[in-house]
Amino acid sequence: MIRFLFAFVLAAAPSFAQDSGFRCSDTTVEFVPTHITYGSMAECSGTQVTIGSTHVEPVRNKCPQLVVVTPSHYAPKHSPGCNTDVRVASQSPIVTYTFRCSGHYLLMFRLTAECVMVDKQNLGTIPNHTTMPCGQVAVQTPTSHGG
Amino acid sequence: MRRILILGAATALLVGLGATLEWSTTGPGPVRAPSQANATTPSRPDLTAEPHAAQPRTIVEAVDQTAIPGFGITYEAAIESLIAAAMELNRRADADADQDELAAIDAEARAVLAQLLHEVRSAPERALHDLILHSSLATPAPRPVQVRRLVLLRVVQEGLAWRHERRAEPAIQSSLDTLVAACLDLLPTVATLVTELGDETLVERPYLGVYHESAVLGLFELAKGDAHLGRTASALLVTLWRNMEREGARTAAETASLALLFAEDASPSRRSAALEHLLRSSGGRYLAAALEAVQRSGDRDLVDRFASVAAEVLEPATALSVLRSLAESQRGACLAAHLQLAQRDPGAVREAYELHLADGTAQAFRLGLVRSAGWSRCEDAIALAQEALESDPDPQIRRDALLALASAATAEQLAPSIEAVLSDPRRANDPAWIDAVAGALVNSRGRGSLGLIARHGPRVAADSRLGPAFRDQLLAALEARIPEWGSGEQR
Repeated sequence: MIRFLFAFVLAAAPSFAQDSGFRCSDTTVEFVPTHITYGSMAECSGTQVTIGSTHVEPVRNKCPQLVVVTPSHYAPKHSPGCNTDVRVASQSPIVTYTFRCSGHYLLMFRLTAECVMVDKQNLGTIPNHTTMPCGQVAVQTPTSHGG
Repeated sequence: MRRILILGAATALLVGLGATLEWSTTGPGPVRAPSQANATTPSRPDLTAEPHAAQPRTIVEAVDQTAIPGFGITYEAAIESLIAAAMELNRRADADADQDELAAIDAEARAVLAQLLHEVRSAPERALHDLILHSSLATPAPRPVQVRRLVLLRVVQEGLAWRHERRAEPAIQSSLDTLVAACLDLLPTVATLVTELGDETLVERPYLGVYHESAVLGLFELAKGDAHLGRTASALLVTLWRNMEREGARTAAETASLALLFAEDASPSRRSAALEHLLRSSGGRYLAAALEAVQRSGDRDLVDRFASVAAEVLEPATALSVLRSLAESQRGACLAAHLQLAQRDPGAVREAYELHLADGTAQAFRLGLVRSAGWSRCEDAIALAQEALESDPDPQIRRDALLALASAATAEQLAPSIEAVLSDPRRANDPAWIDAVAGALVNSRGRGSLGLIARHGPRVAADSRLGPAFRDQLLAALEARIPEWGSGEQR
């Protein structure tokens, strides 16, 4: 009898959740890799540029004025039947780096010139999502997270 | 295999071309002084006149000025002399030599190069041939090889420049076209040549012409699977079309028609070149068609590239409308383009934001505008960031506005906003807002904000809701700015 009641509660929980205003968004996550975009380039017999663990070489011997790095993250993706919701697990910074060509000899032979990072700024934030079974918490859309 | 065959054929062509040029250069007799020359012949350097008093600004000018009378030079001797000068420049530069010393060595090297190009008319072809011979697969190449290649490349580049300057003479125009064609043939054979002959020698230069159209288009076939060659081929095609319009070989309508044909080409790099050309030429006449093609492609890199070119060449208002269209279909993309526009016209960016804030439209576009605000660091940027922080209905935009305000404003202007967030129970308990405050404190460093970081940084760093990415940034900023922090005294 107790086992029957227990099974009944388990089976009814989703529908109870549904009736209580919780609904399954059928949303999962998909991996979005790191994306790098470059601003305009200046002449510079530069070496390869490394930002943290990210190797950047858009065009050899050119120094990008700015580089925008959107980090890898998990973004929500609607997937009917997946029976999961998503929530924001953390925020990651979108960072922009500025460079200038240093030690650039304006002579016939450009022998020593280097593309040097001079500044970096947080441009924005991008939420990193994770999945959870439907019915655990009220569905929240990513953009309404927080105030 | 195909590349080896191309390399062999091009080498044979160069050897033959060099021999032909030497014959035509040495010709039937010595160069005559201008007073003895036929008045209708093109002007030639006067070998018997006194050296010109004014220093030439470029090597092209130097070639045309008087060489030292009776002082011949061979190709081999000139190359070795230039290599010695380059090594000496390198050695003295590493030893922090005086700029005047370096300039003196450079001036001597320029004179040798000018004399070489004047007296050995096949020097660029021979240098191109030697460049192939010294194309090493070793990465990096040994230093002596690097210097020799540098010298050889300069001979090719200055040779092209001199011939282009003198292209009114049919024989010289022909030799220019042939040399450029040889460069194009060799370009796909070795990775370093894509950069040296493509990016550094032909892209955005006036040498490509209608004679080279087939060769440039052929590069795209060879570029399959080679992203670097694809990018260079794309840049060469844009250069070619621009040159042809400028020289009158093709009208703007004709190149635009070709570009429209390639706008949805299977080759991503050819597609990119076509769309870039449609933006740059014809005053944006084909903008709508190009924009439609970009949006249909679904290629994020293409969208970013297109947006950046739009931000560079179109009127700010038009560029903003392009970014708005792209933002709605590619959320989060085009950030570099937004930054370029914010720097060009922060007033237009602010106006666009206020318009869409008022009618509550284009949320993704508003996000890009707010994120770019911190880049221009002016009154318009500060006003935009403050307005977004206070009034935007989207919480992510409000948080990113705090980051933008921290980049654009002074510490005095930023402090009230930081304190308002931290004293608001709802936001102070929200992990996303804690991350935003940390990011803002990091952005604000270096502009009189040490007090702000010292006042709020430790508290935020100690907050368990602070995310790992922003925690690492804030801790690094605290350790860099507050010496005691690293010792644990301030924790």
